[in-house]
This record gives sequence, structure tokens and C-alpha cells, in this order.
Amino acid sequence: MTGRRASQRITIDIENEPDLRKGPEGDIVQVVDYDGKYQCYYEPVDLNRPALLMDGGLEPDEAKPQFHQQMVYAVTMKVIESARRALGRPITFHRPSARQPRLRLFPHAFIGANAFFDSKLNAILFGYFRASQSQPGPNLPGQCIFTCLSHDIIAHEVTHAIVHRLRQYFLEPTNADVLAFHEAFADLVALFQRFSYRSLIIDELHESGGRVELSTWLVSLAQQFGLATGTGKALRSAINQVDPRAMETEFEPHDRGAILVSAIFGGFLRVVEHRTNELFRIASGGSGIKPPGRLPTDLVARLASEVADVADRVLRMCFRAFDYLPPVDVTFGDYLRALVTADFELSPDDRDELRFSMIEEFRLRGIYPEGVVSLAEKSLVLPSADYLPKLPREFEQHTFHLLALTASALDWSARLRIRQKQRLKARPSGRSALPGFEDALRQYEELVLEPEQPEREQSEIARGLNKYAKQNAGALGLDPEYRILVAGFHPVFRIGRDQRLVVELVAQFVQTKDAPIRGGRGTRPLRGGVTVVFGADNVPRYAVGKSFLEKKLRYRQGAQDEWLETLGLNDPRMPWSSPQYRDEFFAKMTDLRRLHGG
Amino acid sequence: MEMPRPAKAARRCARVRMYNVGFGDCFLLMLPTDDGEKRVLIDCGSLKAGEVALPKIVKQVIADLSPRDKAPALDLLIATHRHRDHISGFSDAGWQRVSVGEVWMPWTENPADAEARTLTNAQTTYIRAVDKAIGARPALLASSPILKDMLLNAQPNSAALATLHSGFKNRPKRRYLPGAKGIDVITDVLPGVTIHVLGPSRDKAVRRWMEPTNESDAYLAALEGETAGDKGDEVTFEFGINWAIRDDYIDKIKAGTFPKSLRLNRRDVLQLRHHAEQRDWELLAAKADQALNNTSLILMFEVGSAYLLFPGDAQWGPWQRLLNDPDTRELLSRTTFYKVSHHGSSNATPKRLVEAIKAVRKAPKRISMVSVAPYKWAEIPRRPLLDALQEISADVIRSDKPSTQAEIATKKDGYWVEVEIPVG
Repeated sequence: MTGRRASQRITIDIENEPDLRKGPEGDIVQVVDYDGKYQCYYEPVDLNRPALLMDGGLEPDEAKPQFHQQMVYAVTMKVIESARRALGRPITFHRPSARQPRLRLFPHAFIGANAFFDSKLNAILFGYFRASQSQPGPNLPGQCIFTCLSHDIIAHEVTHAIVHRLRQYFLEPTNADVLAFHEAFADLVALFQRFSYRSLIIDELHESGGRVELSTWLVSLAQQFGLATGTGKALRSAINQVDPRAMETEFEPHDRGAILVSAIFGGFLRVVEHRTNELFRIASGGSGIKPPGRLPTDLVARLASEVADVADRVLRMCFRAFDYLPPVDVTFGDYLRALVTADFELSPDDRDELRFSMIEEFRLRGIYPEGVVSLAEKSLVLPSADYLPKLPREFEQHTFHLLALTASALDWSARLRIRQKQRLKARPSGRSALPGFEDALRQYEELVLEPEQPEREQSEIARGLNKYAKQNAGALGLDPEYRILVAGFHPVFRIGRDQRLVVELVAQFVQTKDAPIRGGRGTRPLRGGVTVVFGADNVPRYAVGKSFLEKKLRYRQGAQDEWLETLGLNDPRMPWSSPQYRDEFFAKMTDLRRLHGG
Repeated sequence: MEMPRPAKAARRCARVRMYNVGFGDCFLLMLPTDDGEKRVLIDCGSLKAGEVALPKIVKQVIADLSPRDKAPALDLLIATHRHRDHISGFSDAGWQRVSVGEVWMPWTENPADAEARTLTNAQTTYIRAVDKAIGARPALLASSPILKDMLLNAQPNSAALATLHSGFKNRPKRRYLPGAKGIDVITDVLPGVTIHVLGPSRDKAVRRWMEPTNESDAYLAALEGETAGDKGDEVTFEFGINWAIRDDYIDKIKAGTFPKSLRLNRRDVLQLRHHAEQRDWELLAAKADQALNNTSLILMFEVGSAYLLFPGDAQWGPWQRLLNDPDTRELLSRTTFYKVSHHGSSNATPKRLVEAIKAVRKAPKRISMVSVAPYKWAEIPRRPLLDALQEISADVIRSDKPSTQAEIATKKDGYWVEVEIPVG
């Protein structure tokens, strides 16, 4: 399928969903083109029409809502695909409580230079607006700009939705890093997703003489969007000057998030440089000095492969780290540890020094995890959770069942085979003993525990895990006096660098109580929790969390109150606020619309 | 043996007179210098009047500047920032009779400074866009008096700015501070008095706080898009008009071809319409408000042993930079007189400032003055802040209430309240 991006045009290849319906509406996402401002629908596109299939989708056409629908669908699926590959499990947005089996995309939801994920609607709402009359940049003055046509904005918003799916409490501003992390991660995915478009990298590397860091286009996000708003710059640039004090002075979520983005991008650039220098030396007979003029096409093609390869590895690394993050109150330091641990599990040898480069870039920016003695890789890898007992024997059947389901839900070739058969024959009715792909996915959705599914608490798996958590409450940093919510449980399948298969089961436990709002009325939720990673043999390997036990919890509560106060001081609205505004402040801060500009 | 105290007149004192302008600022400083007493006026404006209307106060200020029926004269005039509540009084024609030594304004007002022009243009464009968008929604204004006031306050004050930039009887020298080098220390205007110009900073990190829109949000375009041209929304709509299907037509005409699963239920439709309409207008207006406040001149007058701090309406951002610098923090901690920033609002006087002042033990009596006209429930002024200031000051004098402390030398008049600060 084809999409238009600022000045270039690229083709986005995504896996074919044979059963894609009008909308487009697939298995996990659905495009609903309802315009909240004009209160109408726009005619939905049918991408499975043979004529369109032959053409590889609609041609770029800004004036056609159908092209917009195709664009959001394609980019969204591309990002979800990346996430699925890296996480090693199906990504679904099934929400029985909202009666929403799919993530919905509204390409023309409202007028405004904004786009955001709304968890209540289980949807991403894209705005459209007219370019600045006075400072339109390269756009026409007053030209209509569609946020749903910006690859980076779509990727950014979809990532927010995925993050919310993986960690629902990461929207609660319990420390300076939480919202910044949400933003940074969404930017990282948008950024590294770019590097999966080979033709784009080749063009840009030609222009910049083979240096990624010299291509402003590759390193700046949402060019068209940024230029259209009159600020004259792209939204955020990944390469910031390294300011070792930034962590103490930057608190606005986007600015603070930019520190994390630049750290990871810095690590990426180090590895790219290392690998491309080799090629430059080969191409120059050992001198490494580039000949004048344009680089040979073959060299650029090779460079592009290296860059794409490293980018892909970084993107996977970023996603994988999620399974090693605490369920609440995340910090950049936690993320560094998770990155290192996740990557260590898959490629212990760190051949390209990717981990080393990342650690170095984090160190330069003053991002330190709490409670580690040094920034050596050994002390950053999470400690082994050998103090925890195995999951009980009677739980094994659940694990095996889930593992089997996940495997078949991930089995793409089986899926296509079944679809082909279905096309020849009539649809088989009833559920067979061995699930086909669609059944596997649905059954997986029903069994696996994802956040925001209160109705799942009574499932056998949830009860089993709950019992385990209660029995080991102290060791897990949980308080048996309070309810333990099983906020997630899923298996993951990953292939290590040495082609080993790594299978793990990840459980999240969360506890909540009400804490008084300091300097205000009413209460806010105070949470603790732990993520436990089990091996396929049900033996716990890692446990990472934020304690819910007395002393540590009190300490965190104090720190949170202090941070919330700072957050209020940074809010221009605060001096003019009503008591009601101040009471609802915590809840207001969890709104992505507000985070993206109101 | 104890010497008899010298007569009061011989004691060197700085006097600070705060006019009761309601919601606004107007301060007259009478400072002892090596060249006799000099007069400095800091701001003269009001957003909503206190007991006396602003024109009357302006008249009084000018009369106070004309002792013994001489022509009115002022040694130094300072406009901290361009908000209405700080400069609206200068639109009065009476100022044409006043001779002024020098006029100081923040660097952002310098017409010859390209950077300043870019910044003020961005602010003005933003304010105009917000104003226009909100103006088109009368119900909003009616429901929020604070929204109305914030917008009014940010309205361009061309008459007042004209006086400041080109008015007065003589042709006073205009200075835009601080200069290109950063923090200025000025000694040439008031002999014997040192003035530390602590803000507004030109540093990029601080300047961000003066920009209503930054790279990460994009209101400006959105607002412009919504109201641009008087053709209205039709233009935006044009792209999809041939493809639009009204909800109620689906059943009649498109039944069968429009997929059922794409139809939204009533609750979702309402939610979407709500998203399309809703916008935090007060936040938009507050951003404009804060951006202008943060361009405030922040001045520390060092007169003998007295340190008089006048930060205009500086809010959170600019303070952080100052307090992070050990030398500046030390200077700030010496404050003996504090003009409470931004009418005592919740984020204009950082805790760290109060703590730094508090940490200085052997200090003379400190005085704080705050010009207020409280809103019913907003955090202007913020009570806990006034309480904290009370702790470090001999008194916190409010423009709208008489002083509670008898021993503080205050003089009162219907128009103003005055305090004497010993300068050692």
C-alpha cells in the first residue's frame, strides 16, 4: 500500500489479512470514519476489492477519505506487527468491558492539530486542521492538514495504545518519568519504524553521504505536522545536545522524554557508526576516507542494510524490555535495567556492543537506576528471583494450554492455509479440538489476562495466580491485607541470537489503596505491584516491582506527593484554578489529549 | 553608654509606596542615594479596580511626583511586562506632562531586537487566535469570569505601550534589560544604588516559558484553522463532502451497503461529539497569561544594607533558573523587602526562595508587600503562601487590607500604603 510522507512517497508492505472487511476492518483494528464535528460518516474503503488488490491499494490522494483510511490502517498494522514480533505474542485490543473487540481508528474525528488515544472509546482519534495562515512553512497557507496522513503521528498514537495495553497504569503521573516514558516510547517506535522503509533510507543516505546523523529527515519526527504549526521546526529531534544535568531540570513530559529518546538514539548511532565505518574502510581500500562526490549505489545499499538491521534490533530491544518493567510507577532507570535484561536474555554476548553503547549513552545523560552499585552490565541485569517458589503443579495445565494457544495464534502460515481452505469450501462451523488461527486468537484473547479486564478476575488462571501471590506476598513486596489484582498474564516466544527459543510467562500483580491528596480534598490511588517472569518450567526468573509494604510504600507516597506538587506548579492553569480543578488534578493528568496539547 | 537616637529625618530609609489599584501593580520607590532622594515608579496598571478607579490613582501618582507644585518628574520608570494590570495606567494623557530620567523595559520589548520581535509576534498571534476562538463562543465567556479576565489582561495595550516607548515630556533614554550579556548590574542611574537585573533571561531554556506554544503543542495552527477566514468551516469540510454519509441516511438509503459493524452506538457518538467540541479553553488562556508574566523584569535593588526584590509577575520557569545558580540564590536570600510576585499566585513565589530567605538568620526585619484583589476561589493570592511569607517577614502588607502590625512604619492614605525600610 502506498502512503504519502512529507516530500517522499513510499510503499508500506503489511501482512495481508485475507478476511479484511470494509472499513477497513480486520481482526484487531477497525477504521471508523466518523467525523465528530460534522456528524457524518465517510464512505469506507474496501481494500479487498480485487481491482484494489491488484493495484496494491489506493493511490495517494489527499482529497479522498478512503486513502486516509487506508493510510491509518496500513501504518497501524505495521506498528502492531513490529510489536508482535518483538514481544513474541499476539497484540490484541480486546476489551470485553467496553464491548470493543478491536482498537478503533477515527481518521477524521475532530478539527484540531491533535491526535490522541482515548482508552474509554478504545480508539485513536485523529484531528485535521488548516495550516497556519501566517507561517505555513512549506505547506500552502490555510491548507488542510490531516494528522491521519502523517506516518509518525499514526505510529506515535498507536504506540500509546499499545503501551496502555501493556501497562495501564503508566498514564498515572506518579513520578517525573512516567508520562515522559509514555511519550518517549511512542516517539522511539515512530522513529525506528522509519528505518524499516528501505527505499527511504537509501535516498536519505545518498543525500547525507552515508551518515544517518546528518540526515535531518531521518532523525526528526513529524516534519509536516511541526512545520505546519508555525514553530518552524519539526516536532522533536532525536539528537539533542547531551546535557548531563537535563534530568534535574527538564520536567515537561515531552522534553524529559526527549532525553530518553536521545539516549537510545545515541546508542543506536554508536553501533551504526561502528558497523558502517567497516564498510567505508572496505570501500576505500582501507583508508576510510570517502571519495568526493556521490557514494556508489552499491555501497549505499550495503550501508542501508546495516542501518536497517541495527534499527530493527533496537526497535525489538525497546519493545522486549516491556516484560521486565514493573507494573506501576516506572522510571527511566527501570527501563534501562529492563532493556539490558531483555537483551541479555536473547544475546548474552553483546556482539555489536549495543548494550554497552546504550548504557554509555544513559550514563552520559545522568539516567541511573535506583539501587544498583555500578553501571556495569552485570549489576544492571535484574537479580535472579530464585527466592520465589515455583508455580504450583496444578497450574501447569494452564501454562501448557496457554503456550499452545499462543503458538498457534502466532502461526501465520497456518492461518493463511486455513483461509485458503475456507475459500474453497464453505466456512466450517463449530469449534474443532485443534483450533485454527481465528479460533486460536479468540481463545487466546479469552484466556490471557490483559489490563483493564476486571471481569477476568474470576477465571481459573487469575485465581491460581492470586493464590500464589497471596502465599508469597512478603517476598513479592505485596501486602496480603489488601486485594491483589492479577493485572496480566501471558506467555512469550522469542528467538535468541543463537537461534535458541526463549519461552517465558509474565505475570503482573497490582495493589491499590486510597491516599489523601496533599493540600487538597479527596483521594488519589496509591499503587504498588510486581511483574514476575517465569520460565516455561514455571520457575520464577525475575521479579521487578514497587513495594506495597509499609516503609517503602510510605516513602514512595511522600515522593509522589512532592512530584504532584511540582507538577501543579508547572501547570499554567493552577493559579487560576478552582478547588474542584485541584481535586481532579491527578485524574486530569492521566489524559493523553491534554498531554498532546489540549 | 547609649546614644540618644537621631531624629527620624536623619535615619536613612527607603520608602516603598503601594497604590491600591485593585488587581494590578503600582509601586513608587523613594530611595536614598548619594545624590539625595530619587524616585522610581514600577508599573501602573489595573485589570479590575479596587476602592478607587485607576484614572484617579494615576492622577494621584502624578501629583505625588510633583512636590511643592513643581512640574512632575520621575528619575526612573520601570514597566515590568506588558500585561494590562501592570501598564494600563500609562495610556493616561497626564503622563505627557511628566519628565522621566530613564525608562526600563524587559528585553522582549526592544523594537530593534529581532529575537524579541519574533517572540512578541508569536505571543500576539497566539493571543489573538485564542481571543478570536473564545470570542466566537459567548457562552464560554459568560460561564468563566476568570477566562474573561485573563483574555482582557493579555489584550494589546497600544496606547500604554506608545507612552512607554515614545511618550513623556522629555525624551527619556529607554533601556531594554538585561542586555545581550545576561545578568546586568546597573549603577549609573541612582548613584550609590546597585540594581541587579535577574530577568527576564535570554537563555533558551527560560525563554521557553515565555512562548505560549512550544514545539510539542500546536494550538496556534489549530485555532487559526478553526477560525481562519470568514468562510468558516466549510473549507475544511470540502475534502470529504462527496463522501459524507449522514447517520440518519444510512438506514434509508445505504442500508445493506454500509457495514453494520462500523455504525457507532449512541454513547460513542456522544463521546465523539464531545471530543470534537471540548477544549480546555482556560488552559489555552492561562498559557498566554503565563507566557507574558514570564517576560517580567526581575530586579533586586541594593540600597545600603537593604535588598529590595521586585520580580514583576514572574512565575515558575524563570525562578528555577535563578534558584539553581548558587550565586544568584545567595543574592536572593538577602532580600529584606519582597514585592510578592504575580499577586501572590500559587506558582510565582517558589518554596525554595522562601526557604533561602528563611535560612539567613541574622537579618533585619523583612517586609513583604502584595498587591491583590482576591478572586473568590482561585489561587490568587494563595493563602498558604501568604502564611509562609508571614513567617519570614515582620509583616505582609496587602493593598486591600490595613496592616496588622502596629510597629511597622506604615503610612496610609485612601490611595496607597507606604512602608519604610531602614538601609543602615
